[in-house]
Amino acid sequence: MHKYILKRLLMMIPVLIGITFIIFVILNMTPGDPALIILGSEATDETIAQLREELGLDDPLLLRYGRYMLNLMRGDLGRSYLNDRAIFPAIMERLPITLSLAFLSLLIAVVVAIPLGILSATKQYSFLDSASMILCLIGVSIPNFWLALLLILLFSVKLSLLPSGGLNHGLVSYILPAITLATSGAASMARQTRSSMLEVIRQDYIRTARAKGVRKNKVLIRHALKNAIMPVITLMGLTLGRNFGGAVVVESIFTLPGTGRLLLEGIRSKDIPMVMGCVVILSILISIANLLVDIVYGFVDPRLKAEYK
Amino acid sequence: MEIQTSEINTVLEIQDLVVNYETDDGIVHAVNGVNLKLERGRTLALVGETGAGKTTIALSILRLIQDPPGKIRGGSIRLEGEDLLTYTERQMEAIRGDKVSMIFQDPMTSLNPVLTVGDQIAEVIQIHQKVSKAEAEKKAREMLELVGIDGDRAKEYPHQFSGGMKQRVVIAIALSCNPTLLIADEPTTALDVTIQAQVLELMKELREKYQTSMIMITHDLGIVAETCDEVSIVYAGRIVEHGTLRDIFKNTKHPYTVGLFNSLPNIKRRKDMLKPIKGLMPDPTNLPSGCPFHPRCDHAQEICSKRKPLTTYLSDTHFVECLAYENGTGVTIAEREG
Ligand SMILES: Nc1ncnc2c1ncn2[C@@H]1O[C@H](COP(=O)(O)OP(=O)(O)OP(=O)(O)O)[C@@H](O)[C@H]1O
Ligand SMILES: [Mg+2]
Repeated sequence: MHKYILKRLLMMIPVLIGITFIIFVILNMTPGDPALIILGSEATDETIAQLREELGLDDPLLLRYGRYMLNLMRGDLGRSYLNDRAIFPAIMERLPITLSLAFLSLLIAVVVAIPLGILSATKQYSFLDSASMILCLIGVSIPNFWLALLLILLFSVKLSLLPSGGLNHGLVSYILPAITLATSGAASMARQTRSSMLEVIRQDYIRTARAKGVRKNKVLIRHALKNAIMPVITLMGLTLGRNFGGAVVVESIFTLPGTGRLLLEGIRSKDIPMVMGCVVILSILISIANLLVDIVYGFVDPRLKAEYK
Repeated sequence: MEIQTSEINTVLEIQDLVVNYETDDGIVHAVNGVNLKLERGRTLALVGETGAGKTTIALSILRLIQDPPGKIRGGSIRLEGEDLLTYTERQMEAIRGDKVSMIFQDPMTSLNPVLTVGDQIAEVIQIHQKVSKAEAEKKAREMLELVGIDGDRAKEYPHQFSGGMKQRVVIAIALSCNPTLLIADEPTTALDVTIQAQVLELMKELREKYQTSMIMITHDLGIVAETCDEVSIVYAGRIVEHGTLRDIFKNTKHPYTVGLFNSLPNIKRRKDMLKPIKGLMPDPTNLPSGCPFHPRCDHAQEICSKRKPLTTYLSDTHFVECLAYENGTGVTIAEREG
């Protein structure tokens, strides 16, 4: 198992190199001179040239990328073009907000989706099943920003129950953003739970369990869910990863000062080191989410545990 | 008091059982009025072609027919005198795995891949016997050893076992609570011949040890001859001939049973050529009128397509459903060469 985790951690390296390289190239192809951004419009050609020299902006792209990666390995993500602050601590300061948002919405999704999926599967074609599957269809297709606006209109404007943005109310501030972010993941998880439960409850070993006299509900949980949960776990990993990305939109709608907001601000002001830093950190988080999935898999499915050695 | 003792000796009595699978494409008449009776300690074989309804009969006893589409539409199933069809789900759960247990057709898929073998045996013990978890686990190890597997392997998962060992585990589960009735649905078809013999031998030993009544489902007449006391021949959801092993093997009456014997290679060094029964099992959504076997029967007369045969008793133990054995039908069958 340890060996496996180590192997997976090492496999993250080429992935990160790929992602950072693509982002680096794209950001450097966009118009706008960073030196000009830093110095403002009053800068003379001379000072601009001097700053470009200092930042190494005139070096070839590959050389600059190499330099960036070397610094990255030392944990140095560079300094912001805007305010000259070090990027790494700036991101770390905002990261807890994004992490809370992502995990809270994963939690909401799991708590809602799995029971709903099980219920739908056991009552296939019933009213409850049809209703929840229609809800799920709406859930996966509704755009986050629109859902966010609807929720704000209902819970903040009309009912005045929940804050529409900011972080002034502690955990309560996270409720609407987390629900927004959770919806599409919950919908696809519920559908996945339903379809894999439906497949599993037709298996012979479920009949064996019932032939032993195991209570119906216990058959569902102990015998069926444990087998059906595998693809749902994969989906949880993907959802968690997607939540880190989705946080960008949700944080800006609900004015939460998280990493996503930082990223958007960075893009808007062409603060290349900030954008790069945010992308690198979010990519690492997404990779870790996928790694977590594989580790959980190993615990749930004994057939995989052997392979992990 | 006499009646009571005979009641107690009858472990299972099925009367007029009717089971349908009611699908969108039509009603599959899987079981059409089956009667059978099993005494304590005896073994009954259910023999018949694929699709005859054997598994459906077995699953009805445990009330485990997949519903939808399966529905028990009539009859009674008495276990030691009590009609299981009137039981609640809770009452059935108390019976399953305890008084009645079943070994399923395919050992490869019968065990849960994510639970240890030991847990799966211990589970049935814990459900039905008032024992602690530790005691159940200890008993599970004993059961494993009883079927010839090292008790230390209880903590392993099914994928670490071979097919024959999995079937032994399934047998261990089925025998854990000393069932009154054990139903074995083709317990050996998925196994190779040497393992097959071992598993059958094991079942025979255990059956004798615990005085279990057994229903053995198979299409293998060789297995029947070796392990069973009585035989019911199932065709299109009915028992078309029933008798003791001797009745069926030495005094075969129904043309279908005769066909089954003739389609077997070298049992009792038959001198006829291998003669498979012509045609196929009738479509159970649309059974032929009259005797369901008449389209395939060499002796069929016009009346066979018009009238359903009645049950004709040839002796106390032997009955057959064929118009040739009813008086005045005009259907005759030349005696089978012995
Ligand atoms: N779940 C189901 N839905 C619809 N039809 C079914 C279902 N299960 C069984 N049947 C049908 O019921 C009939 C009897 O099936 P059953 O499984 O009892 O046969 P069997 O005698 O056990 O055959 P085999 O020897 O192949 O195991 C068959 O025609 C089969 O197609
Ligand atoms: Mg069968």
